[in-house]
Amino acid sequence: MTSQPVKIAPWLDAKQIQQTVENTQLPQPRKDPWKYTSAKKVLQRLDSPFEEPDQTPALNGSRVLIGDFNEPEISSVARKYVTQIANNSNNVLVSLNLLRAQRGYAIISHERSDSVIPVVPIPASDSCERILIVVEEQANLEIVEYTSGGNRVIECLILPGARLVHRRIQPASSSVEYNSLTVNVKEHSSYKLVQYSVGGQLRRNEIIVNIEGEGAEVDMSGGWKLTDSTHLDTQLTVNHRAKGATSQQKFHGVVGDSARAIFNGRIYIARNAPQTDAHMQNKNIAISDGASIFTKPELEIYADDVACSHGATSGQLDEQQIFYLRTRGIPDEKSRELILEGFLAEIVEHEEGARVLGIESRKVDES
Amino acid sequence: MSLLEVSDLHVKVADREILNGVNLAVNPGEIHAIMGPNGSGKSTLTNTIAGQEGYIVETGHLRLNGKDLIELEPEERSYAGLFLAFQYPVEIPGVTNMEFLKTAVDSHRKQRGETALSSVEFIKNMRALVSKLDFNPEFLKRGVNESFSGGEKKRNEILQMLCLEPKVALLDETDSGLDIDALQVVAKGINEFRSSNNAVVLVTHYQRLLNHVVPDYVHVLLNGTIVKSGDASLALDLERNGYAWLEQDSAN
Repeated sequence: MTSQPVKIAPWLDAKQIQQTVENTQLPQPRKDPWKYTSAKKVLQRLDSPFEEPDQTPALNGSRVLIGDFNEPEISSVARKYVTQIANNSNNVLVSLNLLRAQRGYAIISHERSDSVIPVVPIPASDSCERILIVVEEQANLEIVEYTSGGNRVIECLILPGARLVHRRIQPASSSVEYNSLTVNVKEHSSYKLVQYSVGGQLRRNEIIVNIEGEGAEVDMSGGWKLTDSTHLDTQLTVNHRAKGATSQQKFHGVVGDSARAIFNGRIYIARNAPQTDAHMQNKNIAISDGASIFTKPELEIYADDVACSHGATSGQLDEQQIFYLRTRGIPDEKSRELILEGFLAEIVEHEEGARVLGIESRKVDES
Repeated sequence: MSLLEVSDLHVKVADREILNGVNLAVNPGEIHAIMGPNGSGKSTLTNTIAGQEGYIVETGHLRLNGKDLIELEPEERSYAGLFLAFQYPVEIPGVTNMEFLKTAVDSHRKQRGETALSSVEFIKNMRALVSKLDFNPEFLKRGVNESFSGGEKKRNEILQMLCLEPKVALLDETDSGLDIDALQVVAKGINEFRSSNNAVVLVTHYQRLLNHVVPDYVHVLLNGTIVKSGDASLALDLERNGYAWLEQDSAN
């Protein structure tokens, strides 16, 4: 088979990537990490046509560069980092994304001012995309990402002392969606992710954060509300490979009808990562008999002197809470609603998140 | 007519008879105290009146202002004018106290055919109430009972009582676990609440609260029945002598 050059990154050796694809084991059905999600559907989606992507987002008057990988201002950075952050060797989907991608672009922030943090949107598109995000030393950036169908691989690098806030909004979607996100954080940098999702026909989020610098801070939270027969699979790994870093993960989910939620949260602490402070929590409430929840925390610790906790629960609404509210005159149905809204409100930080999760009407304004 | 009427009440929980023939009549303007050792059925009585699932009324009557409660849902009992201050108030994370109270008050108003209060109006009312009780206004912004101290939880129950203005308030061991300051705040709240139109039933282990809120009647619940009733002095006798003498009496 003759290889076409990689459209979005012609400097890459397409033949070698093709070779990697052939040498990589395909996802094994009914085995971790594809135990509950059909890898076949995700692979098939890659073989059917995608929609043409919209224009690459632009941002004026800011020290943020946005452009396709082969644009002159971008290409040197792109050449340096594309394929160097996301792991191709054990995830065939990451390589396939590169070969199929219709578009590849980078977002590079040099903005050091704390008072004008640039906000860059990544629009939703049912296409195949590769995105590189680089936050330069001491710089700031905020990304507001929307996903809806499609195949998207994001490689993200946060250089020393830099800060990235990443808001990810995932509204309803009727197609098969795959998102791979790999974030490398360097010393004293910070990465904050908030992710709000409703279900898709099949929506899979793979998130890997590699802590490669001392004193880095990682904070990831979010929630989901799934209805109908939607499917959401979140695979989250935090690799602590440097000392004195902190990571927090907090995700809450409500699952109804015959929807299915999968959460796999893994914390890995390497031998050279003492004084790590890592916490992970996932709580789910099933509100129908047909709902399924598969949640699994994993902890792998090789360093001494670490503070680490994890917890994963799934259950039903607490009858005692419902009774308490009802004795105050709040009807049964409304009581359940209030408890679920509160449960999701615990992880919502933005209006937009409240909107996606359908709890925007609940606040009694304090002003 | 009594505000609260409990007559010959027999209640089973998990197939065990816990109450066997409780009689109690509470009239407007009265404060009753129900005392008794652990396991005598005090909480079973309050939970049954409030409509907790799993508390099966075998025989007997429960009436509030003449209305039969037994077939009513917990929220309907609340509309009828009943309030239960929980022994262990429940945490509802993520739901602010303000939001919770407004939803409760709005539900009551709706039931009476009134429109919901505007947020501004409601917040104004609540702030007035909170300052009258020397509560910290921050109280309203926090999640319902979420990481509240024991005392704060009990004070929050009193706040809800004042907010909902029930006809009959059952306070289930609202005094337990309180320090002296919190006890006084709770007592102040109860005295603030009481009027000639409503009634209070205090379920308690101790005489302590009764120094601040003087009951008109004291009842002793033992093995699922009221074995003795008297005035406030009975509570003092119990404080001095315990329950043993009554247990012997009731055995005979």
